[in-house]
Amino acid sequence: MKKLFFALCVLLLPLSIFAQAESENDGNSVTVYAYDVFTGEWGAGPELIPLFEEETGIKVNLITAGGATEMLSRVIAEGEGTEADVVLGISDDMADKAYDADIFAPYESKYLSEIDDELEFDKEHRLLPFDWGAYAFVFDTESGITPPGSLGDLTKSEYKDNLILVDPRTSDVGLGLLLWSHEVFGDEYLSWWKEVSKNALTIADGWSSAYGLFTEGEAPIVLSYTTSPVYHVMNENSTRYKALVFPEGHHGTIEGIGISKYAKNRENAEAFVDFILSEGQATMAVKNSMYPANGNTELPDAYEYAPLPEKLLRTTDEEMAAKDDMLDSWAEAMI
Amino acid sequence: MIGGKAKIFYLKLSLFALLLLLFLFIIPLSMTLSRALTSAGDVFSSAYTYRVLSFTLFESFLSALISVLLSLPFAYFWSHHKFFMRSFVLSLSTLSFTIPSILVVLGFVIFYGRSGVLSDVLSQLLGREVKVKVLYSFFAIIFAHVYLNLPVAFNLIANGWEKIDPIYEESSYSLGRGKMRTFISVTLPMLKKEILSAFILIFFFCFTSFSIVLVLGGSPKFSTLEVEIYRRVHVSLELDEASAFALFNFLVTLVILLVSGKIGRMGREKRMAGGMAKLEKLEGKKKLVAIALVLLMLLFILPPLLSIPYRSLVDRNGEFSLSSWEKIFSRSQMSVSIVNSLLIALSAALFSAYLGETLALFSARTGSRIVPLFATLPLATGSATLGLGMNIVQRSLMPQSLVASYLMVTLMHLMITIPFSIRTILPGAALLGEEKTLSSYTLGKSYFTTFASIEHPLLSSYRRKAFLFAFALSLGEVNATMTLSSGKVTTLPVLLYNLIGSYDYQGASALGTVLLLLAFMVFFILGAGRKGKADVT
Repeated sequence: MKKLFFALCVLLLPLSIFAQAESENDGNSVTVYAYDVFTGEWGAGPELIPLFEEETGIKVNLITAGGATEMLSRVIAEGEGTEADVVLGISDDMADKAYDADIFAPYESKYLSEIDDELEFDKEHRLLPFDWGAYAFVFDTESGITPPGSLGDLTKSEYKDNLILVDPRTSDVGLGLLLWSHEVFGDEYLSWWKEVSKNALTIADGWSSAYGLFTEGEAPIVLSYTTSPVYHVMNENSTRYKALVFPEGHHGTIEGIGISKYAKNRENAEAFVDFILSEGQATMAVKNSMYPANGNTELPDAYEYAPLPEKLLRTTDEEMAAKDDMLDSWAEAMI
Repeated sequence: MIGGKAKIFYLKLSLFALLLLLFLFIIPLSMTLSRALTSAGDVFSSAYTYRVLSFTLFESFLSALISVLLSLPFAYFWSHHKFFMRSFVLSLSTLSFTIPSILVVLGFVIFYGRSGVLSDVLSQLLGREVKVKVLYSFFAIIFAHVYLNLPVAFNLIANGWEKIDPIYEESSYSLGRGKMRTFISVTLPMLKKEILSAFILIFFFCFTSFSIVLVLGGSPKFSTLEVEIYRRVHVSLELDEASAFALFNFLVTLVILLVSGKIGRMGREKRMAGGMAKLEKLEGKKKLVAIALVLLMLLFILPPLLSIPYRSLVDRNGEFSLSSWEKIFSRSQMSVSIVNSLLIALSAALFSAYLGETLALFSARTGSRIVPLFATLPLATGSATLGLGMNIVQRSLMPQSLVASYLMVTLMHLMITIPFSIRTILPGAALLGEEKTLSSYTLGKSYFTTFASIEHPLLSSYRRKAFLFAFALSLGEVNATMTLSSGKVTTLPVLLYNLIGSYDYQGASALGTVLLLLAFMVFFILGAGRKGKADVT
């Protein structure tokens, strides 16, 4: 039986390779490194790439290396030899590593004028913002408990075991909460964590498992984004889940796109960036479950359920530099 | 012991596997570790590191110990009796390996969660609201680890036990020793190699586990060393520090493997080759015991597994719908990824089983201790470190092409599964056939003929187990695939993670169900193909 399988394997291997092989086009192309959120079957990539190719006649060679960090680490390691013309998905919270490695060249896109200055996290425009989001606690309105009104409220005893958090050591979202707590409580952030962790049902390894536990009804409050309810409105026609807006503000995360310093197709790369910052905006926002960076973007009605934070807290340069030490202190305090 | 020329034959036989291991593992690892020296000091001197280490050692040891102990009664019954569903349940138990860890967590939550199926059923039965409190505790970590790993111990030990000639136990009884004493002084020593193999595999599987530990443990107090490596590779991007942690991890692992190797050689080998317990047909009371044990095993294995197809059909509000199935099958990527997943898993598992066999034989016939040690290291090293090393290799050696992506992913899967293959086959290679091998040499048969006509068939049941584990592991693998394929090779688990990334857990459950069905089909075909032949190993 195994021999049969073996024969089958050998027969099928070349078949499947040819089935997927695309005609290589070296003449007019652009190589885009993107995080898996974009390239995945349900991401914005499969919708936007054919559109871009059709409009411009430029062939896109799309490469992913997993999440944003894996991608950044790959581009940095490849250095001058990188094939990337464009890199998509570097957030402001990790941008310092990209600046240190000096891998991006500035690009003054004409669409920058349509983007809110506050979102331009890199004033040198090596990285240009394409979407942004704000971390928030999402609340199950059918749980019958009173929604908390601030980060401080979450430490109240009534929320014992009603809270799902995310570990800052293993997740960007968790890291976002760590920065958020620091922006709100200053040097007292670790005492807030100690209190709030008593109420946490669990501190999950990543957003995926945390949100999965939440929709399974394990706890009525979860760390996520202000935009999270949009999915439920658009796909499940449900307004059950609500993002809570806290008056002290929300930590924002801005995602950027940049052109490699070593790009071999600079012009095509510029065309791609422009496309993402203009026509691609609505699709990017909906598929990534974020807000568009370009203010002229028309969004589906479901975005009414993605409340804008009253105050957006941003990572300061000092915070950025202290990030790794903060993680160490967090680990020391919690374990 | 066999002669020098025969040893050289086994070296040649396993040469391909040895070189592959060297290329796939030792080169990337040394590249990773060479970066470690700059910041190793901080890691080795921090008290935090040792707190995390001691917890990691503790939970791994406990998980492995409990898995092995719990599997013993089942392994005994399965290796001594013939009954309906016997081999079916054995194979079924390995299915849990095919689901990516996020779905394992979800499966546990859907069934054992505070508002899970079990809570619902109990509430209905008792007429009041019951919230089952199993998860989010240290117990839950061990429970989930035992759930995932008991099948390893169960399969390995049952397979070894089948091959113990009952004559040893009978002679012990005739000396007036009781059942318990005979078990401890006669049977257990003969199963030492299987038990040790299972223990090592489970120990290192749990040593590098971290999602399950964090989510189901419920508190960052329960953190493994892998959390710290993962943090530096995937979140804070401090690769030198990650390498320092990897080096630390590597040294700890090496010590454990060396100690376990020492234990493995203690005491005399009591078992002779060729013996075989006769499988007893069940009568009377024993039939009830069989039914009870099968039910118990199914009750243990099935609930978290079946939670996944359940969620794919019934949403959180209890409404039945096929929409998530329609959604996933409306995608052109779906058929491609099914073919990819099957292809990669079948090729990786086949090669893994055959290469594992040659490595195990080399190690058993030449008495090499280093080979099984090195072949286990990929498991003990953890995916974060491996990914780091493989990335370096990929960048420096591989061109960007579709074929290279396929090759890279398959090779990586091969490396991830080889520890399971070699540890599964090693007990068999050590205990079966050396006598027959020697007598075949005396008859003037060539080394290769002896290997092909005696050793290879003798090891078939071990190879089958190795294949099953490797296939299941490879089918569910996601991290290495995502990192190494450059997005060019889409497998089912990759699609599954994409779906979860876009909030669709029900669709992900449907994909998880497809994974389970594929594994089930392959196991079924393998089982059916074997039915015709008498099991003479």
